[in-house]
Amino acid sequence: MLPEGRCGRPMNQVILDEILPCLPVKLRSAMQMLPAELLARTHEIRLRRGRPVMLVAGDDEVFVSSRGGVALGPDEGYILSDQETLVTLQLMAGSSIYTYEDEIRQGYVTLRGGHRVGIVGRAVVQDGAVKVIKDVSGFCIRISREVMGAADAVMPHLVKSHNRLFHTLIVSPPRCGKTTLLRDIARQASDGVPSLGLAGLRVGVVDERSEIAACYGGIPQNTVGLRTDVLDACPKAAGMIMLVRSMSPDLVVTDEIGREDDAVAVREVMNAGVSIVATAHGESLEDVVRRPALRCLFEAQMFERVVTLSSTEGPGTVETVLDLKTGKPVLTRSAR
Amino acid sequence: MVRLLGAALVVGSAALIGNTMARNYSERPRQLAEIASAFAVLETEISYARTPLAEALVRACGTRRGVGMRVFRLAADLIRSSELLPGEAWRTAVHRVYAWSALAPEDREALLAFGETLGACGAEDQLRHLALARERLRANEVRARDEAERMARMWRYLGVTVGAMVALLLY
Repeated sequence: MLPEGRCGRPMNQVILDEILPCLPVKLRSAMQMLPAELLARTHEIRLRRGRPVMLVAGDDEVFVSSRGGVALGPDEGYILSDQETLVTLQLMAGSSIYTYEDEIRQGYVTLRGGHRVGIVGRAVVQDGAVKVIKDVSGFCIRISREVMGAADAVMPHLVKSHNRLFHTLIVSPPRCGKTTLLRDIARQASDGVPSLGLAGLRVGVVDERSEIAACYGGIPQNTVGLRTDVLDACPKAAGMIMLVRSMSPDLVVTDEIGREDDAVAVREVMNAGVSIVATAHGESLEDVVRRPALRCLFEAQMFERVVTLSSTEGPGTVETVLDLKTGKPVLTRSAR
Repeated sequence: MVRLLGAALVVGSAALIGNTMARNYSERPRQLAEIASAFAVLETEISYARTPLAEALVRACGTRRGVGMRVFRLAADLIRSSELLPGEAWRTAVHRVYAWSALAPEDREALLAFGETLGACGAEDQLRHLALARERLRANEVRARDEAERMARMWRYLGVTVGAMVALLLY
């Protein structure tokens, strides 16, 4: 059976419906000839100008053939032309580059369905900031997979009382499923978990890179819960403060903190009596603590739980849930 | 009596033809003004709300249903439903509507030039091209209005005069 995607559709159908319309017509036809099983496993599509189109499915890398279907090697691969690169960018931007100007400047766009597309090219810098990315040379389409229940194992260790979660930091290297876990924590906290005695909380999500709720036209494409308000495409630090002031949340959820102003905002949120669940890039907790911007948060013992992820048993493997007060793990992979 | 009636009919018909021709001349500035006002709305949609193009084009039309609005609606439909890029969709829409409109070739050129960058650049550049197109169309409208006044008057007089001459000859 093929892995299930959003709304009960198999993942290959999700790709056909949501990704292919954003690709040039010829490439679209070539990809329609790929085996359903391969498409269903695909989690990245890499397009590079002048080079063969590649799919990443699990640990496999597969080239799309210029005749359609799977290529036997890169020589047979479908080469993305200059014109097709431009067309792809326009299609991904919903035929209006100006609407996605800020996102493109930051190097990504979000497609309908919450799929994130990283964009590279030549950056034009003005006053130290990227003004525009021109001569676009490549795209990395990351297929969004919503995993309902991804947080089932950790939730019992994150609930502090019937209306509070512990201040939690999720630490993980890239592609280990921290955003997927974060999204499911937000959903479960928002809907409430009766078996854990957790009532539904008012959740505020600051989704700077549109990865958590994956808003498209202001509508969350992912299930983020009944009581969740999403501040989309807003800088994290400003967004956290805005949410606390305007939406009176019980829990603030945000992705990838790491800058000085993020740490200041996290502190503000915690001091306002609002729980926070955030993520940070890092191989281990030690990695994160070493970062000057975040060190002060640990020195002041602001966080109460740290969840560490890896991909040892596939993306989303929970290595440990650490209680920072006692310094002892309350959940380890081996214990599970 | 019959001859008098016939003469009146000839003069009346010629005046009607003259009037129709005159009205055709006043149609072009009217259509240009309509397009210019839609461009003004489009400018607001892009600069303030960053509305996606297809939706912005539909909003630019508002509730108006004139010939000029058909370019915007058709382009929006083509962007939404086909695989055409915005520039191609706009070009197709302009060519299709042009044949049925009172627009002149220079109006079509201004519209086509605007379409070249449609949806393909940032807001700042998009607005610059929009302003340029509006300016060209406004200049065309001023010229068209002048021409319409002169030609409309001429056609009306011509209609009545030719009608009267023919009636006299036949009488």
